[in-house]
Amino acid sequence: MAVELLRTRDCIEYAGSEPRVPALNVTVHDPVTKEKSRLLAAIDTGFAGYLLTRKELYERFATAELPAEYFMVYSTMAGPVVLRKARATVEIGKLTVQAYIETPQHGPGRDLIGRRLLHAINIALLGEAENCCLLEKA
Amino acid sequence: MDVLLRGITKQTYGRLKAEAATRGKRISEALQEAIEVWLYTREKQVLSEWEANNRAYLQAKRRLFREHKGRHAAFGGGRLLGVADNFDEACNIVRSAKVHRSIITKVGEEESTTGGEWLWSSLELATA
Repeated sequence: MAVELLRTRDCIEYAGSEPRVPALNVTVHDPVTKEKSRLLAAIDTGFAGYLLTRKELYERFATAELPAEYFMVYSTMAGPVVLRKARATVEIGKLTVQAYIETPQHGPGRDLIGRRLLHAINIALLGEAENCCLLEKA
Repeated sequence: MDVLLRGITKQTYGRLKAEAATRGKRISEALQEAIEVWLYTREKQVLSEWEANNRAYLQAKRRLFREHKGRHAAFGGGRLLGVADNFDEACNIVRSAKVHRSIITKVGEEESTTGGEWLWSSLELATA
């Protein structure tokens, strides 16, 4: 098995109340208005989507929204949940990803990095130090 | 909470005060109601534009699939704004139209709507 050395960078302290949550700073860019905003989003390996955001943030950055028939439907314990979806550029550390922002069609939402976005980045969770770091080749 | 408002015209304040008195309300209650109505109207406006754009998309969908598959269609202000060869061009069309909300879609090539399973995530302890 090949061994690869990686170096941590842009470490962020876990956020929120105990037990604290690993999170990363993310910058969202609206492709139409070119407006951008930085937010602290929790790492959520349980969420299958891209970047879930609070409704008010979504409303500001969803200029390039998809037609409602392409909104994604997620299965949850409480039944299916439909999320609105818009194209956005997401910047995490030095990495820029063409991705989507999502928010619940009903309800306020929150800032979460889901699995579809996690597949595009390398991160390390340093549990004892309560730090979430981006990884780059050493 | 307490809020200090500056710059309200005497005339507007006078009308608000008179209307509140007629209805037996305090100024703060009348202001609270006015703010809520304003916010509701704004939300309705955004929603109706969203609905109009989606309606326009559904009306144009068959023609777009027939004539512009793989290209990017932009909708805003309840109508088809234009069709572009790439996403950035579609963004330019929306930008020039100066609409508040828009839809941009790659005709016939969007991802499936099956989002996947939302596991036991985002759950936090709460007091009953």
